Parts: sequence; structure tokens; C-alpha cells
Amino acid sequence: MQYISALFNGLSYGMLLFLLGAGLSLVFGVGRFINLAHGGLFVIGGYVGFTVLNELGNFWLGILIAPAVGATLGVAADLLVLRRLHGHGRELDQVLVTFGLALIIADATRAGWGGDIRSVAAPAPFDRPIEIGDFVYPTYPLVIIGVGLLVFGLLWLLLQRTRLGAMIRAAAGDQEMVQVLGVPTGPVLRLTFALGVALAAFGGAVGLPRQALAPGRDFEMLLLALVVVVIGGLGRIEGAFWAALLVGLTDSYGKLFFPEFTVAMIFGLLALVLIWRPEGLLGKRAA
Amino acid sequence: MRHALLARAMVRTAALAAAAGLACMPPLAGGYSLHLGLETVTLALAAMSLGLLVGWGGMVSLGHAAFWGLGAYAAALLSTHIGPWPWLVLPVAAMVPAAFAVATGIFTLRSHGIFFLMLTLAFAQLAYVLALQWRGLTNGDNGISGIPGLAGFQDHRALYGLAVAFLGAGYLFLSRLVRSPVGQVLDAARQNEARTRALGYPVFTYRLAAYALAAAMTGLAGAVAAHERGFVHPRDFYWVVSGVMLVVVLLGGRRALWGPIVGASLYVAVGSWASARTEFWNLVLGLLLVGVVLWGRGGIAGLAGQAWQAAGRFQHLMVRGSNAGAARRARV
Amino acid sequence: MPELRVERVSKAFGGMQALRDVSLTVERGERRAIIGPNGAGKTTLFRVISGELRPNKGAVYLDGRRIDGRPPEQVSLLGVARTFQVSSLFPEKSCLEHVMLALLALRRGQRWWPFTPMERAPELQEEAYGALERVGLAEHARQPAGALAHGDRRQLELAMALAQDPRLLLLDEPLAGLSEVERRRIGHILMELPRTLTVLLIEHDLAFAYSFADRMTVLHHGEVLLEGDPEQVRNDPRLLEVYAGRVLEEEVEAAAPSERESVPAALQISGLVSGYGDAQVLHGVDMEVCQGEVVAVLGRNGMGKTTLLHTIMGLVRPWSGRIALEGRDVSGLSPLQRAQAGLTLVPQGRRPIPGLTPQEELSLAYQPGPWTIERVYQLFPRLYERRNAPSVTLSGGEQQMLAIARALVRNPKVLLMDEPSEGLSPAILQRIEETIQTLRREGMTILLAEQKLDIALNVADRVYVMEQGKVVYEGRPESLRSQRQLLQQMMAI
Repeated sequence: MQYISALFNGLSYGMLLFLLGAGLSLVFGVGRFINLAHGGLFVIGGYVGFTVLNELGNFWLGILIAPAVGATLGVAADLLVLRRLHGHGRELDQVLVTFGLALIIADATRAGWGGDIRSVAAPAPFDRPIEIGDFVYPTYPLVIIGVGLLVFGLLWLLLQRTRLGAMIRAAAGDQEMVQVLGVPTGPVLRLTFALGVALAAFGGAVGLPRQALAPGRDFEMLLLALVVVVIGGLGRIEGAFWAALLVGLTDSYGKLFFPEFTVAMIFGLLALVLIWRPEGLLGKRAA
Repeated sequence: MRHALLARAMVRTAALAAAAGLACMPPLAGGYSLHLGLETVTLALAAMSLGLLVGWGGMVSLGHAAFWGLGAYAAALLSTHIGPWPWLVLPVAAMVPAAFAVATGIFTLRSHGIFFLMLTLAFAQLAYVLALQWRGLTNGDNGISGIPGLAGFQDHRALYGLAVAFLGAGYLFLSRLVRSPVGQVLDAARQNEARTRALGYPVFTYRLAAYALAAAMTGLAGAVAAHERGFVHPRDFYWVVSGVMLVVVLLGGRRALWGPIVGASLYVAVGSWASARTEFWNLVLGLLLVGVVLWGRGGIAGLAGQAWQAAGRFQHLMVRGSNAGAARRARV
Repeated sequence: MPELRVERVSKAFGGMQALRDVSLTVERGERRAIIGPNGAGKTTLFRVISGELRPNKGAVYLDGRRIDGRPPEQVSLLGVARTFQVSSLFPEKSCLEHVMLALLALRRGQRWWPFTPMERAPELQEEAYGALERVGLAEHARQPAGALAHGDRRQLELAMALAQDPRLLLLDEPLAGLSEVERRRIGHILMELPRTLTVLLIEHDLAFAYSFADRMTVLHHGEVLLEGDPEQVRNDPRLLEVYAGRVLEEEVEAAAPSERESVPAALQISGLVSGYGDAQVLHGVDMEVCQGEVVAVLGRNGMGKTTLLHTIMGLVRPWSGRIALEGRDVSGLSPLQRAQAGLTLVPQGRRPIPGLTPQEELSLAYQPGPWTIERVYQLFPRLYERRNAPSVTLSGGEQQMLAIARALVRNPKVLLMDEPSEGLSPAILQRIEETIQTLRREGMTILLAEQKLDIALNVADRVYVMEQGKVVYEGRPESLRSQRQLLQQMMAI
């Protein structure tokens, strides 16, 4: 029984990691930089959801508002700071700036919501466990799995079937050439960035009933998201999806068998993938 | 020309005198300022080694905390369980992080730029989690406290003297290194890796060596800091520690070895000022980092260099003239 | 035992077969020139020999020892030195430091010294100085490479390679982009190289290659087309065909001279100066393309054709000068703004966009006008068949069609084309040429940079010839055709 529970635990955790990693990967694909404030956005999403639930009493409203707040903050950060650093050879500076933003967010959330652990109960009607014979399992993780699959599907459709998606892929492929063809890459990048951080904030709000909020959670989540995108191959959404599930399952089964060394196992996985395929599971091989 | 040289020599002497004077202040004042002094010197030593990686090796690492933490924990464990003998503790505290650097460098140094930064971060965070979870060895979240003072350096004035000696030796060594063949090859590979390899240099090995050297220096700094505080905590591995070192390097200037010393002094000064007034010290750090990247590309060394250059422009012309003269002489 | 033996080496990049079963044997002390048009695989061959690339098939032996698959630093220490087509230097290091690094690489012990500053190694410095002197760079010894003129960079490359006293020297277009004086100087240095040294030379200046080489190998489409001594190769009719098409032998039907005097200029360029970093490439270019006119820019490699098109498109910032599109100055605009103003580029190397299909590339680029996506599919039925395959997996010819098609559906005011013929097989070439003819009849305004004379002269209304970043000739194709001497000088055949 515990193996089946671990399966669902792993899958639902993996879906959260996917929501986080997908945004990180998307932004890297187009902007060629890693947003180290991504974990901060995840936590902000969670706190926004928490506050909405406390003030307005509606969990689902929080899930809607969180990504909106995340996107707004992302656009603001882009306009105020990141935009000044666009251009060749400044990617590293962008990463450093997002590291600064991550530190600012860490303290700002601590100032705003305090250092206590914040958790919420799963909303109705998902607050009761499912019972099938002897097997009892909470419902909410299944909701997270559903949401993750849905987001994956929608993202895939967006990227593969819409004009905007083609623009995002094109900007990720060859920015100079795409501009020569009259496609504005600046707005595409900004939109991708907003979408990416909105996904992170969404993940934070959706994951709230499963994962309590506390100082330090932002960097913890960022790190796992980094592992996910590196394993999956930077800039690849499908890669992020499969890698997120892999990491989620490693985590849940690791907790079952080697509770002390779960995280070490995840990084062991990372090291193995990097030895075997330095560009990630689905990454492009360098010529 | 003589005037310019004289002026430069004077500036250099004045800077040295000022540094020596400042270095003597903490032990004289004692107490809290001695603590701040030790914090500055150990941070400067660690950041200087990172400066070598960033400024000459082109390896922007966000994983220096692992070296710091490994040095601190190695020292803490040895001193508490075996004995606080410097001849045992310090070499091991340097060698453990160096070994970790070699083991992880084999993976991280295959990548460049952002990827390198991420991988170093990931490995450092792995070390953090291990320190937190391997309770049998590390005592987990409680850390290790009651570390005895380093034999012969129990007095923090003596420990401070040791740290300053390490910093001074590190500075002298690295300033020789960056001009030596090894440093020049590192610098060449930063500018054009393919060319450096085409010339016949095993760039990877050079980088691995520099990486291990930086790890050893940082481990020493961590060990001294551990003995000063008397306790270590998994927080020593936390990535904010790496971030601080990187901020110090950027603040000081990435192409000057004395930059991290100035950067660390400034950082500790601002830090002690700010933390007395606010508990949200990371916020200040974050703003500082954003500010330095946006507006101060060369850091303090960059600013100083501009002033230096303005003063030495005249001299530069003279030097070029005399080089041409030397060239003529050499040809004859 | 031969110094170098290349055995049936093949190398592919994605769908592009760069080398196909190339075999080559170079004796000790031999000077071998590798010639062939752009995209023939010459540089790829060098990169395979020097260890930068691993061949898909085949083997490389240096003095009987197998070296393929070894990393470049090992191959280098076995005695292979190379210069790069685009000077590859350390921008912040002085010339002296460059050569010292080259020398130091061979000193197994000294190169690991961590203590002694490099400037305190007087014999090293002296030796490096001597190497610089040999190529005439001594006076720039203390200058950082980033501040060197283009010609001096090439010399520095050479100084580094020679300083290593290699057994095999790979020279990748050592004369490209040099002024006449510099060419003569470098040419002289190369001719004076010790006869014991084995040299492989890639060069587009065929006149130099003939005089330098003991034997020549002609590469074409990644295959060895012919091999022989310079006299044989020079007289082989296939060579001329490879380089110039049939322009010098037959009278090809001349493009009808058109009456365009009264037509307004679509693109007007005056006093255009630009370059990369500190290296100036364009030295004041004046040019005009009238509405509905096809203008060809001719010139050898490294004469500034691509830089010209990139500067017009905005990919390279102009240092000074004016670029006017239908009278409006666009020189301050970004590439995107210029694209929106009606310029577009068919880039060299075609540059399919990774991650997209032809269909997607076309629909992203499309702007209403006479050229619709259906029409370009009619023009290129093959592209229609492949419209849903990832662009990067298309063959070279298909990628070229795609590059032209996506530029066409922009319905641009002026279409810039950069060497559309590069690396294509004769059948595809003809297809591309016909396409340009069709566009010309349709009244498209085109500025075409080309190395292949026959294509350029067949399709163009007017021709400019560029040398050293300047326009040295302007006229009608018919009159250029009659100036054999200029043509030959231009192609350096």
C-alpha cells in the first residue's frame, strides 16, 4: 500500500516541480538566462494564496490571483532591472541580478508574512481522503496531478499549435534571424517571462495544501527546479515534465527507503544524467 | 616620468600603510571589532580565491559555500574529536574541500557560464543538505558547538594574526600566480578556450587545479572562522554564503586581487551597521548586488583603476616610448 | 612514411554532409593546397585533422600515428599547428604574450610553473620576440590583440603557429581580407617557410596557391574532385567550372539591358563604414539599387560582402554613412525595425530556425502582399512536401529554398541575398538561379552578394565588385564579361 501512496506522492510532487521547472525552462529558452528568483515567485504565489484564503475565505480565488500577482511582479522586474541587461554577453549579469532579487524576495516575504510555518487544509470537496478497500489516500494530491497534466497539455498546445507558441520557439531558436523576418522578440521574451513566473506563482498557490510555507522554501524549490531543468534539458518543456516526475518519484520512494539521503539521491540522479548526457535527457546535443 | 613613477610608488606605499594600519586596529580595539576583523579577513580570503576563478579563470561559481562549509566542518570535527592542533586541523581543512572540488569539478568544469554557475550551486546545495541530514556525523540542524580554540591560537588576537598571515600569503601567492604561466593560461582560456586548446594546453586540467586551489583557500578561511565562533552550522553551506562571496568579488572588482579585501571590509562594515538596525539584512545584500551589477561593472577596483589610469596616462606614453627603444636595442 | 594520411573521412552536421569519403596523403615536407568554393568542406577537414571535430567515419594518421578522436590539445602537442580562418586570438593579451603562450605550451615543465611571472622568463620573451620579428610584428609586441588591425592579427596567428615549430602546419586562408601590401608580405613569409615543414594551405587566392603548393587538392561538395600538381589542376576544365561556372567559355544569354534611369532608388548607400569590434571592414561604400533592379555584389571571400549586407540589415552597426530605404534613412534602426520598414535578408548559411517547421517559419514571416505562402509553395513544390518537417533536418538545397521563401513572404521592398549558391549542387544551383530570374521578372528589388560569377552575371542588371571593403568596379554585366582581366584578378584564378 505504501508503495502506491509513494507513487501518488511522487507524482503530485513532480507536478509541482513541473509547474516550477516549466517556467524556468521557457525563460531560459528565449532569454538564455536562468531566473534565480523563480523559487521566490513560487513562495510569493503560495503566500498570496494563503492571504486570499484567510481574508476572503476562498482557496480557488487565491489560485487565480496568485499567478496574476506573479506575472505583474515579473513584468515589473523585467521593466525595472532585467531589461537594462539585455544583449549578448550579459546573461551572467542577468543571473546575478536575479540572485539579488531572490535575496530581496526572501526577506520581503519574511517581513510580510513572518517566519512561521504557514499551511492550509485542502479545500472542499477535496478535503476527504479516498478509500478503496484498505487503501486510504488524500484527494488533494490527485487534484495536483490533474492540474499538472492539464497545464502540461495546455502549454504543449500553446507552444505547438498557436502563433504565439511558434514565436516563442522561434525566439528561442535564432533571435537574430527571427528579427530579420520582422518578428519582435522583445515582447515575446517579456511575455514568456511573465508566463514563466505566473506558472511558478500558480504552482505555489496550488501546492499550498500539500506543502507548508516557511522561510527557506524558496531556495529549496528553486534548487529542485534547477535540477529538473538540467536533467530535462534546458529550454525543453517535455524534458522538464519527465524530469520533474522522475525527481518527484525519486523523492517519494527515497523517503520510503533511505529517508536520510533523499536529497543526496536526487543529486546523485543529476550527476548520473550529467555524466551520461551533459545536455540533459531531451537537450540538444551540441554540434 | 620620474614624477609619475614616484607618485605611483607613493600611492602604493600609502595604500599599504593604510592597509597595515587598518589591519592592526581590530586586535588593539579587541571585543566586537576583533570579531568583525576576523570576519572580514576570513571572508576576504575566501572571496579572493573566488576572485581568481571569476576574474582570471572566467568561472563564475555560486558554490563556494561548499568549500567554506567543508573547511569549517572538517576543522570542527577534528578539533572536537581528535584535538585542536593546527598542524592537523588546517591541512585537512584545506584538503577536504580541495578533494570535493576535484570530485565535483570533473562534472561542473565541463560546462561554462550559466551552466557552470548552476551546477556549482547544485553541488553546494547537496553538501548543505548532507550537512543537515547526516545527523550521525554533523549533528544536523543543531550544528556542532563548543569547538575548542586552535592550540596556540586560543586568544582571538593570535587567531586574527594567523588569519591576516593567511590573507597576506594568499594575496602574495595569487598575485604571483596570475602572472605565472598557470595564471596566464587560465586567463587565455577565459578569453578564448578553443585557441588555448589548439595551442596545446589541457585547459580542463588547469581549471581543475585552480578550482581545487580556490577550494583549499576557502576551506582554510572556513576553518579559521569556525574556531573563532566556536560552532558550525549547516548554514555555513547555505547558498547565501556563496552569494555573499560573489557580491564581495563584484563589489571589489573582478580583475583585482585586492578588490575582495576592500569588498569584504565594506561588506562587513555595511553589514554590521545594517544588522544592528534591521533583521532583513538579505534585503540590503540583494539591493547591493543588483546595484553593483547594474551600475558598477568594474567594482571599486574599476573606479580606482580609472583614477589610476588618468594619473598614469602620461607615464604610459613614456613607457611605450622606452619599450620601443628596448625593441630597437634588442634587434641590434 | 607520409606525414599526414587522411583515410576516407566523412563528417556530417545534421542533414548537411560536409565531408564525404575524403582521402589525402601528404608527404613529409610537402606543401599542399586545398582549394574549392565556399562550403566545399575545407575548413571542416582542418577541424577534423586538428582534433576539433571527430569524424563520423574514417581515420587520420600523423606520421603513422592515429590522431582522430584525440582532443585538440593533444594533437597540437604531437606537432600540428594551425591558423584560423577568422583570426582567433586573446583580445586582452599583447602580441608578445600570445607568442609566449604558444612557446610555453611545448615546455611541459615550465607551463605548470605557478610562481615565476611569465615576464621573468627572458629567454622565452626573447624567443617570442624573434618570432614576432620574423612576421614583422615586433613593433606591436606590447599591443593587445584586440587593438590590432586585421592584417596584423593574421600575422600574429602565423607567428603563434610558427613559434611552435610544428611538423604539420595548417593554414586556413592566411591571405583573406588582407590589403595588397600585407598580402605580399605574408605571402613572402609563407614562401620562405623551411622546406622541411609540411604545410596544408586553404586559400581562395588561387594565384598564390599555384605558386606556393607542390600539389593541390580540389574539394567540391565535401568530396575530392581532383588532385595533382598545380599545372595539372590549373589546366583542368573542371576547376574553372567549380569556381566560375561556364562564364568565361560560353556567351551566356545576357540579361536584357533595362531602362531604369528614371526609376527612383529603392536602396541608397553612401559612405558606409562598419566592421566588427575594432576591425574595420567597410571603408566607405557607395551603392544604389533602383526599384525592380537586381544588383549583384561580387568579390572574393573576406572582401566585405557579408558585412555589407549585415550592415544594411542592421545586424552590424554602421560606424558612419547613410542607408536610405526609399529615401528614408534607416541607419539608426534596429534589425527588427528595418525588417518592418521593408528590408529582409536571405542569410549566408541559410540559417533555418531551430525548433520550427518550414510552414511555421513562413507563417511567422508572412506579411500581406503579392507573395503568399501558397505562391512560394508553387515556386518550390519540394518545400511544400517538406513543410511539416523540422527546418533543421532539411537538406542544404531545401534550406536555401526555405530561406528564400520566408524572405519572399515578407513582401519586402528590398531583398538582400547573401551567397545563395554556397555549398549547393549544380542541379539546385540552377533552380536557385531560375528563381532569381523569376523574381526579377516579377519586379522584385534584389541586392545579391555572390561569389559564383556565372549566376551573378546571368541574373544581374548591374554589378559592383568589392575589394578590401571598397567598391572597385561598377557596371553592366555585359561590360564586366568583356573585361577578362578584371574578372580573373577578382577571382584570382
